[in-house]
Amino acid sequence: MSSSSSKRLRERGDRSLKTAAWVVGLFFAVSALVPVLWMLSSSLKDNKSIDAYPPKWIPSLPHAITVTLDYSGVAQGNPEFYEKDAMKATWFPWMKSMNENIGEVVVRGVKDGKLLYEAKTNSASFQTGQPLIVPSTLFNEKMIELKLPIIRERGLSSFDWYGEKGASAESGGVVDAGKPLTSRFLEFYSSSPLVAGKPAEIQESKSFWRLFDSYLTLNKISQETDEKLGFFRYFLNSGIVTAASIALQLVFGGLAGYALSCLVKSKRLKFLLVMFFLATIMIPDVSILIPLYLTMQKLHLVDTLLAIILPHAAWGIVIFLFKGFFDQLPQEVMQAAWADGASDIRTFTSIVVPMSVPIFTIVAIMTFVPVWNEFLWPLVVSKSPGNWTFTVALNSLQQQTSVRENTLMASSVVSMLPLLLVFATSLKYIEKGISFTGVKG
Amino acid sequence: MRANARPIAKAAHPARELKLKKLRIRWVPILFLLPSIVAYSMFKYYPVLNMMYISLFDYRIADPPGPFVWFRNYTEFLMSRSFWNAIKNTFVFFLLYTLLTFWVPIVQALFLSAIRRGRGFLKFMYQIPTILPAVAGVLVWKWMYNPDRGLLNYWLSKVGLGPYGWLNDLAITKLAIVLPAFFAGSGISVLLYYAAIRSIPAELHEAAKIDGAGPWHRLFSIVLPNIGFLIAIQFVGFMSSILLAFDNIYVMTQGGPADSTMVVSLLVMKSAFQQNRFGVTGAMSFFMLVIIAILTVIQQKLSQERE
Repeated sequence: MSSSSSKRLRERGDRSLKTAAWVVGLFFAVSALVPVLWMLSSSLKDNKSIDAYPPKWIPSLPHAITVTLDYSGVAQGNPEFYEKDAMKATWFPWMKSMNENIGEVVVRGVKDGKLLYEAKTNSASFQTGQPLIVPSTLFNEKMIELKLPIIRERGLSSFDWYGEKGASAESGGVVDAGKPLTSRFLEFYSSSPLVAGKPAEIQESKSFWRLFDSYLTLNKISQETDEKLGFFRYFLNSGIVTAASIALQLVFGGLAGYALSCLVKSKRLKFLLVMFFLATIMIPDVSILIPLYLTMQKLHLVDTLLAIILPHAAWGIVIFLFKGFFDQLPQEVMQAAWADGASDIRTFTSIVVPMSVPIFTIVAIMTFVPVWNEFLWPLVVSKSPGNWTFTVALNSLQQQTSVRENTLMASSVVSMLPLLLVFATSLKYIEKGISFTGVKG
Repeated sequence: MRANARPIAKAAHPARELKLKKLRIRWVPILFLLPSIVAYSMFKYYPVLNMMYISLFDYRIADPPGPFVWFRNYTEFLMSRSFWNAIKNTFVFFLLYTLLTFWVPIVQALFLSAIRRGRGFLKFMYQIPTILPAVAGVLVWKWMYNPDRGLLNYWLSKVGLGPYGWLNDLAITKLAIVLPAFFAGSGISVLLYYAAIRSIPAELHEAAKIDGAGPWHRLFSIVLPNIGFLIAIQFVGFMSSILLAFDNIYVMTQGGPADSTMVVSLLVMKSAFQQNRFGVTGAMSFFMLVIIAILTVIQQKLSQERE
């Protein structure tokens, strides 16, 4: 009787524990996931639906508008005339509908059944170019005259000229004024004398690929402050800094860890050296901000990537990870090599290093995350955008009032990818590293 | 171990052994240690000494170091209201973080050990906030906190709460900074606690089972006490991480509104690079260094005791 009741009790406790474990586990799993999903969804939204209230989870597909303008009867042969006309036909009506979800506007010019030109503009170009090209809805003839060089220089709109002879063009001659965007564009062309061509056809469709224009916008914004590489430049900088820092830590830490573990014989000396390295974990980065900056100034390294990389060579914990691992290596193998007359350097490179691949991997992965995420020191030491890491770039982006949330979220998504890759492929090593450092404290 | 091997080697090549011994002890270890010694001296010890030196001067950037002022920089920051405001804020942050976040990974790891299937799945899900870079995570939360169009105010309005100003409301800015950490937990700490739980000997569990302890009882009477040391060690580290917290606060509020989220590390950054007051900053830095050093020593002592 008593034994069966105690058994029942235990089973019941087991079930309630498992239920509680799953409830708590799923709660935190969901709460970890929601911000990430919201970030993804926001990054795919256009400027109108990002403001939608109540908030929408599913972004809507952007519209692609193709306008065919007929120039029959226009006695102009100069391509620049047509390019200006195409720009007016693109930028002006778009500005009038700037809050609509337009992904792309294609303007095609035809004359006597022949295709003269095709001009394409995507929403990323429109969003970044709009404050400069069409700052208001007061349009005039002069505007495009002045802005065309900017459009060309920044590659905001593409313009393909097929020549006076033209390529063959098939025109259905459909103007579906029932669709709201089509009717807005049509209204502009018929009411404004600025565009020379007559609207022959306006097509409206949904474009899947233009969903990702926030990512293009992100790149275009960065190109303005930086050079041609755009946001990729910050990524590359972070990549260089991370790779170089890890390499430094592996080489410096590996060598010193091995020396402390196997080469230094004197107990007293070893203790002093261990204290020399170990004591530095008491020094927080914030408290040496100024003197480290002054040091970099003396080395003429302020505003270079090296200034971000070099201090990583002195990370207290790395040497001890290596030392802890080398302490556990079977001494017999090294003694055998040593007895065979191999030098210490040879023993290290040809015997110790190949045996220690796991610890090199663990250290590399464990330092990847903090170095990749580092913010304060790069913020202080890199001044020009060309030397920013992505964390500094992200902070600068969010301070610009013209940058919308969809672009910001796109930047966050992009910055998450490398760590996602590292975690997805090496969670096993991270766990190993954790239990290893955990034992050491 | 090596001491045993030496006589054998000596016997084999007595002459060369003598020569090599000299070489080995003098040059190779130095060669191996030199890069690190140089790096640590340049980027840790020299800056620390320089900081102490700077803190004794009314430092002039154009004409360093400027007039020697003894300990006036120290008295200056200790008398300033902004410093004590920062200390007060740090203390409130410490309470909030402890109440809302410190226990989360412990609970996660305890429950993780209670289930069998789906463990890997949960473990991976807990890592997601770690995968999101801190600055990027702050941007997402800032967007969710948007008072007019944000997701949080919308959800709260559905249950009849709000709207809240979040980062603009002096009363809850600090909470708004800590809240993301509650939901995000700490992926790395979960793994650490979980590894410690896994290393508890199975006999302890078996013995308790035989004594009639149920699974809940075992969780609290065997698992929790066995990771108690780790919790203590982690808590000390947690304390220093709060004193040093910078990234999330800087990106979220820059210390505002009205200095309600200004903490010491932000104060150091601002007085150094926005007001160029290197002397006072040096003094404050030294104060931080002392506190962190004490915490680190306690943490090291605790982990040595554990071993």
